[in-house]
Amino acid sequence: MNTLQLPEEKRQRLLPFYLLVRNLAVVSGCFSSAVFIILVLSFWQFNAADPINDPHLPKLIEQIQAGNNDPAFLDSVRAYDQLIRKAHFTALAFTRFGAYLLLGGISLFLLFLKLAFELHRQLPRPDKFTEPEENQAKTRVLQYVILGFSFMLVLSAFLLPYFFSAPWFMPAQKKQARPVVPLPAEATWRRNWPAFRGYHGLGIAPTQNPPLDWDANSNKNILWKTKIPKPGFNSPLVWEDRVFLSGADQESRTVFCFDAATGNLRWQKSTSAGSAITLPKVSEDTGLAAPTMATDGRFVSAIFATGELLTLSLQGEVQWEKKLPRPDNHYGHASSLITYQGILLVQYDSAQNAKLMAFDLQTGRKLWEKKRQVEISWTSPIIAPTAAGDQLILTATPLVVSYQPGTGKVLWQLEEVIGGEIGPSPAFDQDLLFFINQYSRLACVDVARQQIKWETDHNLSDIPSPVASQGYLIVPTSFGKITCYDGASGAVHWEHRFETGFHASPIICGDKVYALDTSGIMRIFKLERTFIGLANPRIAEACAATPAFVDQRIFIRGDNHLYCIGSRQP
Amino acid sequence: MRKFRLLVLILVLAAPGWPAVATAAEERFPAPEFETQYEIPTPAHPHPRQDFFEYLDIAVLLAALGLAAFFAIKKRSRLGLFSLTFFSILYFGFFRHGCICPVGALQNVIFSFSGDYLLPLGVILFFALPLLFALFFGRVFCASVCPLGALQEAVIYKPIRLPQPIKHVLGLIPYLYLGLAVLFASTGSGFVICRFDPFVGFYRLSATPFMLLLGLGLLLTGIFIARPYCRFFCPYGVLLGIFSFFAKKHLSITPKECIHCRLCENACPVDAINPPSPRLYKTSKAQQIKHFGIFLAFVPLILATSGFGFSRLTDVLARQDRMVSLAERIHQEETNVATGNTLDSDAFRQEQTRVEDLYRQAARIRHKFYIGLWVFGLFFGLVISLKIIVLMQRPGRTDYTPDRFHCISCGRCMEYCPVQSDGSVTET
Repeated sequence: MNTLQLPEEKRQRLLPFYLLVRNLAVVSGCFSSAVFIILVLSFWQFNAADPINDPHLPKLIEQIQAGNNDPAFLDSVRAYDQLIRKAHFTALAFTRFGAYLLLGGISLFLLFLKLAFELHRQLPRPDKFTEPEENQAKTRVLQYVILGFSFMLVLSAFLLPYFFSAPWFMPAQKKQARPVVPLPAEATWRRNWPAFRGYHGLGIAPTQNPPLDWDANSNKNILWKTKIPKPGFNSPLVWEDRVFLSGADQESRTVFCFDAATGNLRWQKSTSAGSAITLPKVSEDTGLAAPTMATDGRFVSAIFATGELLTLSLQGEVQWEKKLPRPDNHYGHASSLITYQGILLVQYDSAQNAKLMAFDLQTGRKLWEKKRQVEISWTSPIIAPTAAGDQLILTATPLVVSYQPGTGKVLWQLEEVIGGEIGPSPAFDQDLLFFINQYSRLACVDVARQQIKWETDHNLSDIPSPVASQGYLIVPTSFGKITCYDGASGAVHWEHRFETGFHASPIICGDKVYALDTSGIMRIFKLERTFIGLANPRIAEACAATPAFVDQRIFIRGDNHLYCIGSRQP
Repeated sequence: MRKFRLLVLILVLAAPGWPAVATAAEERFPAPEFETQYEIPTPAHPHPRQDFFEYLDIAVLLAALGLAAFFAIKKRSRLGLFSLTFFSILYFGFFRHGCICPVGALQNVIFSFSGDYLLPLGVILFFALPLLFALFFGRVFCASVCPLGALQEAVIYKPIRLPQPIKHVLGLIPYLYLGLAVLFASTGSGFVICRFDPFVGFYRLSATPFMLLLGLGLLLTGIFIARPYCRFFCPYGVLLGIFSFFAKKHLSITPKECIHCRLCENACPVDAINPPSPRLYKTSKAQQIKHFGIFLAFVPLILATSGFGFSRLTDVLARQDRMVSLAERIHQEETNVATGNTLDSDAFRQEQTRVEDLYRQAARIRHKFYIGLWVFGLFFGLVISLKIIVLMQRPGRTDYTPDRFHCISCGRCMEYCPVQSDGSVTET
């Protein structure tokens, strides 16, 4: 194509600028060339001298190692060592300075050159415009080229593994049906402590007469005491001869198994993510390991505020592990796990996408998932043995919902009955369900009719959960007051104020109630129409976790230690 | 003038590489082997960029994009765009060391979907702002804000037009690169765009010899084939192109009506000017629809072939993941295929993680690659199909217009247009 100069008048006007920038380009170009040449020479000289690999210094060092400790000789070696270091770093500094000079020179050179080109631009002299015509053949060639190239590419991708890749190093494992591990008998379940607040999460101990008296200072009735390796507010589980609890920090989220007889750590297992995970922001009084684990006697599961869900065999082998979406929870996820006939039930009331999930405990397969239209909650599920069968009860603002625990089918629900940030879990006794939250209400629901039978806003709890048995409802509070109601009518039998508040939930053992306060004192009183205090034994540290009661023994998790309390054999 | 150009060539090629070579020299001189009283200081990790700079960077990016849009659309000033290019080289390149750039931020965004990575505000905005501007004003980011593009812009001296078949074939590479970048970021295996960024080494004055050669090669190519990385590699350019295609306002060659003077016909260094299309076609509309229908019937086959073909690369690509390669190494050591230990395998054994857990993790990553490559293949098949469909179209253009997908809004074409904003024509 021919070219056309800029109009003469414009050319003349721009000429001085053009000449100026052109000359500046020449000067900066020459300067850069000179710097470049000097740098090349210097680099060549530097590499030839190579002070870092000076052959003399190692020989001198060998002489020192051989025993030549003459002070004058040592001084000369030091001086020599300093000299070659200086040579090395001076050369480096020189090179770096030169590189910056070169960079600056080139930048100016390019700038002036570009301007010179722009000022000396030549416009094209095009031919006359003619009406374009369809070039079908050209278009078709383009289509074939694109298709052909793509086909070659896909073919290469297909063939590449045959020629350039070794076979996958692990042979494909055929999925073998794992033998189904049978569930323990019902009686075994009932005598152990498989979840938060024991069997079905109801807060009723399998033992009638645990110790009434112990003292951490004199070690009276303290069978053993073990340091807990990582912090957590979850409660211990007990299954036969093992005690389980979890702990977490920035480094890892870990399950610990202790020997129930001796307190020795049998094993510990962490989630696979380790420190390579972004931790959620959690409050200090919730932490990363607030949810209590759950076991069905075959496997034990733990969940953390990170969303990591880990299931292990009772021997500590990883059965399966999942990374659930990180809970959107401003205090930290705290809802405990519970199991039902080999199913792990996970209450996951996150700000986004709240749901209830069920996993096969042996395989980790998700069995079902139910979306929940609720706000964030910190409550835990319970299994209520109603006259119509077992029901899984969950509370969270604004709902109380009953699910069929095997299928997740909603059996009934009460809407707009509870509000606020709910921490306490519900209680159940004689087909009556009790739910509670501070600044909202305490209500009793007739499960058969699915109607609220009575309610009150007196002495409401924000953290500890109520417990009900034999027609009584015990409601603890974090400010130290405990109220005993008549479960059927809501009449207050008595209320008693203790010096210290409660975070742990009370447990009913036969005709006695054990309520562990935050200072480590166990408030033991009768389950009666009038308040009858029985004992106030204590351990020597603060407590927030609900204790476990198994076989005349009590397992208490303090802030730092795990205690086993029981009557010493004479 | 020829000698002058030769000098230019040598200097252009030598300059950016020299500092990188210089800094590649050994700086860790061994500590003295005899005892002294001197305590060697513990090396400290560099502090993360202060918040102030993060906000400053965002403000500067916003201002630069705004200025680029102003120069390209309102002011129609090539000089303004060109000056901004030099500013971008200095600020986004040398001052910010080319990081984080919107091109690489794409990977951060993808990786954030894994749930283990919280996306910083700066990264979100660096990724989104250029796209937002592209949606309103075309690829003004490419015009003069992108530090990678700016460096190539500075070396365009004798651009040539590539033959159309080559241009179309090379134009498929950014889609492949985009797919691979998304695949590696989504599997947590790495940020390939950053790893193979050919120009960031110049800005940091530090690069591996391979990347240095690649960068120099691209700059050398860029003298004749304008912006080779932007046109034939940049994965972010694909996204910008799509957004720019729907731009509310886009740079126009002429401010008024096109007079078909043909002055701009060869003005575009990246070959992004569409000439007027024919008014009469030899093939009938019915025939065209028939061809279109036949091709549509083949689209599922193209998608399936592409998906299956690329899924065959699962083992090859999964091995690039650090965890998978470690698992393979451990497996080789366990089965005596490999002798001795590596640093990685030693470190793994010190962690006391179970080998089975590592294998399980490697298998999980491999499965992710398998699914990802199927998606990648389907995506590539879709791209090919759409390209063919676009070629089948009859656009009905009457004037010389910028190709909205490929136009980088550099503004060169505007200078060639003799039509003034008041409609008058300048005599040349």
